[in-house]
Amino acid sequence: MRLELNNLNVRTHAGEALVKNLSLTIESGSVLALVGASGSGKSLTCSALFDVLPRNLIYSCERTLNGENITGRALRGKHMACIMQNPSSAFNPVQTMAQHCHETLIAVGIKDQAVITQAMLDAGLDDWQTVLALYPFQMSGGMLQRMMLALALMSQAPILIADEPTTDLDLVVQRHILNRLKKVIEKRQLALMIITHDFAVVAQLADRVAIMHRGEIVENTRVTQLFEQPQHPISQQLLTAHLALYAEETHD
Amino acid sequence: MTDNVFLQLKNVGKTYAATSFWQRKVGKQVLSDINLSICSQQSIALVGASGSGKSTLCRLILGLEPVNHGEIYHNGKAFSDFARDDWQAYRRDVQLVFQDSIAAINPRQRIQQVLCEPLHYLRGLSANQCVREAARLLDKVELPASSMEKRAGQLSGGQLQRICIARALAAKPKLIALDESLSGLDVLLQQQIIALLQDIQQQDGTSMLLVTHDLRLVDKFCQQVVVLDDGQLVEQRPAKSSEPWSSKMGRELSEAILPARPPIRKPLEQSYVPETQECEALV
Repeated sequence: MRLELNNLNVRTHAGEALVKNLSLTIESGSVLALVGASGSGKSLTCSALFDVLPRNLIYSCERTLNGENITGRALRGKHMACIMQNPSSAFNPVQTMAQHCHETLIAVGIKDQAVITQAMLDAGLDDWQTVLALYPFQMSGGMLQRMMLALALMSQAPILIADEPTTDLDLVVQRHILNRLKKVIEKRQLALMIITHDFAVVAQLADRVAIMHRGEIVENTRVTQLFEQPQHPISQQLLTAHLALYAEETHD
Repeated sequence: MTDNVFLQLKNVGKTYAATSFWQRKVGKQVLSDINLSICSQQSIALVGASGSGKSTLCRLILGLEPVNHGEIYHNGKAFSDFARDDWQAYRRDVQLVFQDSIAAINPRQRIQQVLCEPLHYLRGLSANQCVREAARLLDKVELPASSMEKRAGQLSGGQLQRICIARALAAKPKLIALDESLSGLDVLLQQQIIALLQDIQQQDGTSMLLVTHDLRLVDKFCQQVVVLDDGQLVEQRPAKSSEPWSSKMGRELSEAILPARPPIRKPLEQSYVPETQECEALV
């Protein structure tokens, strides 16, 4: 499975370019991290990929799945699922987890109920029977984020897009979620694109990294390469800021 | 040590009463038996996982919520004995910077109004003095003077967080509480704001009360670390110490910090590379 997004341009009606000539590739079994400071256009790229940009923006792009052109509408749900940033607002507050699961299954046309169990176990919800009966407000942020992963897995989509999946969670929960994502990707051979501004997450999870700045990808390279030799000044700046957080430990 | 204690907490506890129409429920104990002293010019970090009661403790210290058990003393005087004047003075001495800067600023006010409000009400300056002081504050947080006329929607998240810090500084506080104020920002902004706070700390001798779950931030500007777990104070120790954490939560939090660099991936010659600690932790 190989998804390519080519020549993405997003601009406002006033003519201000928000994303310029952006191209990226997501492949099965590998993790691409899209990194940049806030306001660099990471989330716009993600929305454009799903064809869910706000109406007041004009955009154009080409999406190809395994070499064939595909629309954003045909792509989402069946081929591509999303994990949102804020788990507490991504669920319907008056539906139980079981209802969320069934809705997903109906949407993708799967009848087999065993898919639910399998997806929830893979997402790290071992106590799935209890969880299915819960409403979103009865669950913690970490549990909701795991449930969101389970819903994404349930749809059997081979491509996952995670938009800042751990930014709102505390570090202990973040670690659990990242470990779980890593295992699932290996087990199911999924393609993952993770959007983040945390280089520690990039280091832990990603294989390739694309650095964004003002709507453009300024560097697209292997993660190990980036940490050894960042080429672009923006990458260097971001990496220095990240490593400064660890300054005390590296001196020891 | 004892003469410059700014705040002292004795056996402080907090219970939220769960009121339900249909049944009588027992209150939920959020904090129990907290003993803590904060000296003037000393910065303290409150750390813990989510739900450990660190934000509640911060709100209690600021006097935003009443305590149910125990007592908090400010310069030797108990909160329960505070008169109206005392509260006013205390609220001038302590200021809070929230996590969500966008929600913390009135979107209909211009930045000048946001900054002049505390100057007028807490320091009693005249209109002209307010404007001059506001300009000075804006300069201190390294924002251009042109932002004075803007509204919240026209500024970015990082700029707004600086406005929040400027607003907290307006009252010339002795203690600034930062409730997860650095967590949502990207690395560059975080770096800038840390530098700004360090400056303020050194220039004015302001104490900081940092509420966070990220131990990496603690060493940047705190002398003491207090670990909370499930409403209990489980560990208190100086920051920047290399001793192992004695509490379970302290260990858990320090392990949760992801390594700065990518782990050594398994290359072709697998037997050659020893399993690093990072690799083990991932399994």
